[in-house]
Amino acid sequence: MDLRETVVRNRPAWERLEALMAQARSRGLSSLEPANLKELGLLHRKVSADLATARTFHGESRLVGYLNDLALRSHNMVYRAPRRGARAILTGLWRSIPAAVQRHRGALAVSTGLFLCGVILGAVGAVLDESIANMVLGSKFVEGIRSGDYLHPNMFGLMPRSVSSAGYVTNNISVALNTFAFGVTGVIPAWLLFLNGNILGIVFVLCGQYGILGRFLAFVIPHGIIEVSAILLAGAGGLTTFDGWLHPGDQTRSRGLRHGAREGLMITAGAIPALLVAALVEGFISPSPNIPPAVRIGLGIALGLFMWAWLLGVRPGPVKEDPAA
Amino acid sequence: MSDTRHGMDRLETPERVDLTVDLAGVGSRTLAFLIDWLLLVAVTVISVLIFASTSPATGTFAVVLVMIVLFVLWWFYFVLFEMAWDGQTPGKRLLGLRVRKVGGYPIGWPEALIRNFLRVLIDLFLFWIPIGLPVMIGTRRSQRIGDLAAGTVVVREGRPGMDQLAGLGVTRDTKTYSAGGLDLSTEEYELIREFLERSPGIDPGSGARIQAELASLIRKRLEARGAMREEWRGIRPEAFLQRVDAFYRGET
Repeated sequence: MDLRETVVRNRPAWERLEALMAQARSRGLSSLEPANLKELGLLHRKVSADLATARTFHGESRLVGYLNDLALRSHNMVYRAPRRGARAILTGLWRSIPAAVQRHRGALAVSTGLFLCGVILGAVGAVLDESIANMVLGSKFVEGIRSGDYLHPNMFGLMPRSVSSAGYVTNNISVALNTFAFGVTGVIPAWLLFLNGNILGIVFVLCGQYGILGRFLAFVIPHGIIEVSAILLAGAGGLTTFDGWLHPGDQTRSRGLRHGAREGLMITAGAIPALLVAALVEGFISPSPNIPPAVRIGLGIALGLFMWAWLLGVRPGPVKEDPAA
Repeated sequence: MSDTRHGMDRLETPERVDLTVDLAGVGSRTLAFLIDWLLLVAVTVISVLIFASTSPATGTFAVVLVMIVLFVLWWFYFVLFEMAWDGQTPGKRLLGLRVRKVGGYPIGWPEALIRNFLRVLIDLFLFWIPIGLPVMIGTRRSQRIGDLAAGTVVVREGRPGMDQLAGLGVTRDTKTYSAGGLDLSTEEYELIREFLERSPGIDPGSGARIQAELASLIRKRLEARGAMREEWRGIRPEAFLQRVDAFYRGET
């Protein structure tokens, strides 16, 4: 088929498609009339067919280059991801986060195990050898616990509570996202989990040794339970990414990585609301001397129970009818 | 998908036609990143300066605001732009790049989040090595680790000269082409056309040599097909190529 014939015969259609796309680009796809929208779809199909014909008759020519470019542009306009509102996304997450966590209980178990190993080794180490606490926490922090400055009511007066709360949010969410991002490496999230547990274990022992364990628990439990839960989730998210490419099953490694990262992201997403709540509690409620310790501790336990009831209790999607029943 | 040429990605469409996409190279992607990064630094400096000039009375509110703004900026700048601008950030837009899923479809939240969370910590600074660069050079679709994990590619938009019908040179005329009796293949026509367009930029010596070679090749082929016209005999190579080109397009 002659190039000129092809161009001359189809040119009006191609120009029409260009014009429709120019309008959609400048004034939005919604500015097109329903009839024009339908025309856009039909023209896209026509251009795709023209491209196939041109490839056959005109090989690697400019015409093919032009049609490929045109079809690509109309393809991107015709096939786009449906936009979902914030509400639809949030209700989707309410179910899909627990579903992802429940699919990867193994990663959560490993993450929890690493953290607990850290706690136990830290506690045992701190009991056996006092220099370990200095090594892990820094001598300044240890001195603060020894002298009774740590957790003293004066400590919380230094900064406005909104500032410390914002600091906790940004810092903790960054830690969670870092843990997820480092997940590809496997070793780094494992190390972060162990280290966090280690610090907690040592602080427990030191507070016990210097007689402020009660005060420490009253401060830490209101926000601490969900905060530690969030660390475990972020760690599980990172480990899921790692597991994705380490054990891709019958997929390729790159597909395994892709799948693992998606699942890991979903699991890590569960840590974000927990950290937001934890930061508010840590900023405003935990250090407050006006609220009785029993109420604060009760709140912390209730938040923890609620969080895990959500993560492990929510069924993924509507229950399917059992055909046998 | 397996016979992809380097620098290209194939996209299978529901219309069952393969579209080819040009992949962006390491250079343009690095440049786009530097532009975005400079923008980030500039906004950071400006907001810290504004914060420093606020009165102590509004201090607390300003501190909280700056903390949150900077947090969102540094974690979500790329994510939010890529979602709002369909795979582009200011740097990418400037260089004509766009993020797409492997296979060419627009990205969604998971892709934007994964590829950009892994950007700094893994691809740029894992153990203080920009490991993403060698990975990008080594992978078939020029993907850094963040791209591999998200399943995305960065494509180049609009090949120069390909975005306009005028580049084809064929004009409105619908009558003469069938009456011409000129047998020129698409390749031959486009070769002539390309030479005529680019000849002003070729140095005169080589230009004349290529011109002579091309003209004699086309002459021989036209003679063999019996499509050589009398008025084209004995004219200079340049005039010959111009007339063949004009005749093909129906302008004579």
